[in-house]
Amino acid sequence: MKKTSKTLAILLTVILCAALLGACGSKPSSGKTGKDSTYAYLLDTSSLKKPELDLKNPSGVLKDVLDRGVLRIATSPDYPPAEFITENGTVYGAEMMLAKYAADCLGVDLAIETMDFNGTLIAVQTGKVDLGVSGYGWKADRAESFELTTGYVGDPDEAEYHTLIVPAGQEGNYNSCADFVGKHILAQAGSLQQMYVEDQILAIDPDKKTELEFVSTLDQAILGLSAGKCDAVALDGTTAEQYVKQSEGKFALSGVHFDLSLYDDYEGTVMAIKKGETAFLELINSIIAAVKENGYYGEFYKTAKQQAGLE
Amino acid sequence: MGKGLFEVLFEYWPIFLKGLWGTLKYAFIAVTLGSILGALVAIVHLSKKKAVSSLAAVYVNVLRGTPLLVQMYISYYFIPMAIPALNSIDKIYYVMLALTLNSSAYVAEIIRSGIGSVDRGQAEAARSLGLSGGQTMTRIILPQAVKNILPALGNEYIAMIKETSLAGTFMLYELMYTRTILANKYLVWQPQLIIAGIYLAVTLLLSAGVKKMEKRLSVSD
Repeated sequence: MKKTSKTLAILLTVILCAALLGACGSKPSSGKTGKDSTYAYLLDTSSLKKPELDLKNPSGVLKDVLDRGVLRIATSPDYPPAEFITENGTVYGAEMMLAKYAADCLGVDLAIETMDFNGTLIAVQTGKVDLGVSGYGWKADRAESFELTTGYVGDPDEAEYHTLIVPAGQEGNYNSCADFVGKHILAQAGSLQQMYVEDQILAIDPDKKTELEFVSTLDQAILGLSAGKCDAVALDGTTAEQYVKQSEGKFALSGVHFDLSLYDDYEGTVMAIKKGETAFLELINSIIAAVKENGYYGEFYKTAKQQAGLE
Repeated sequence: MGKGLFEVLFEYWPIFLKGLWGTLKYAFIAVTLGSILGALVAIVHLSKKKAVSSLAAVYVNVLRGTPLLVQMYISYYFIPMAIPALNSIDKIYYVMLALTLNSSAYVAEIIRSGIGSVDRGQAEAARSLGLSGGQTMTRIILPQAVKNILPALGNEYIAMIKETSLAGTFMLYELMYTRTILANKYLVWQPQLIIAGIYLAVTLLLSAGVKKMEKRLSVSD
């Protein structure tokens, strides 16, 4: 017995040491930019055109970013191809490439903090990060609490779309958004699709018979649809197609696409910045404008799609 | 629908293994550091001075009376908000801080009740035989209290293994985090069941270990 307890003690000590060493993971250091950046694997911007930015007399968040030499962003990496993680936990995605581009434009390193979706917005508000980059849609109430950038759209070639998936065999019942009135729909809380359902389905339902239920992660919505807890799940086209494929005939695309033209400049995805940081907002907006003008975001999106194994 | 349970397990077992390692690691660190801190809190709590003792009571009540997830949020988001310089610290430390403090409150109660469970007569007898207060504690009370404390600490470790699942919210690599990784591959139902199976297997195994330890410790009774 004595021998076993001694072995056990040694074993436990070894585990504790290994665990402590493991816990002391390294942290991206500042001052590294471009190719030497912590996230250099995301994107090499040396051959990309960059906008002229006025970085003189910075204030607020922008001053912090430049002083620190690091642009800190928050993301919830569960939305391929915009942001996702690989098997060993490395972050990839089109929006992450965009963030790397933005960091290079500012001449600073990038630091990506991963957390759950709701956490990303808290992180922006509490100043834990400078920029929230997590597939946000433009929403009126969100715009009240945050500065939201202009929008960018993933796939200009084969127009990005947002749709609803339904149990297979029922897709024939749905020809327009009006057919979803009175149904039970699941969407990720705070997502673009939540806004689309609210603006385009709930808005044409004066009797309020439609039930829109929120989930914190999309996999919960898919489980809900599998379990018959709802009639439809609202999501983006790429994700919808993948889930329909994975379901092997259990789900189908409804064929109804949300109308994105209603949102003008804010069509697509936006980033979130702390309220009142208008100078930083303008700067990020001019970076986004450059990305759109040169068609870079479409390229980011295509690359990310391949990296996510979606093509 | 889609891939079967075992297909997913065979294809992605390294992910689950890495997740399990993370879970065991975080739980072990939290309970170990929590035990040290918890012992100190218990000592303070057992103090005869009311003001000192109630300080420990407040500590325990706050940590046991609020959800761990809320404590993690406060640790991760609000400490750096108060002290911006702390922002450069890796998130693992914030989450471990919340886990450790939470665990220390439970351990403090375990130790306090372990000491309390030793019959009062033991202390009275020891004092009447001329042992000092400190001697009574270290030679008479503690050796008996340990029999109650050790198995309860084992159970705290088992509980903590389940509690660390909340660290997945902050994208730390533990078992629940594997769910996020595999959801990125559009696998949604299989990971949940596999994770549940792993948690169950580990906790059952450890429970059996705690039972055995309990039996061994009660031999002298």
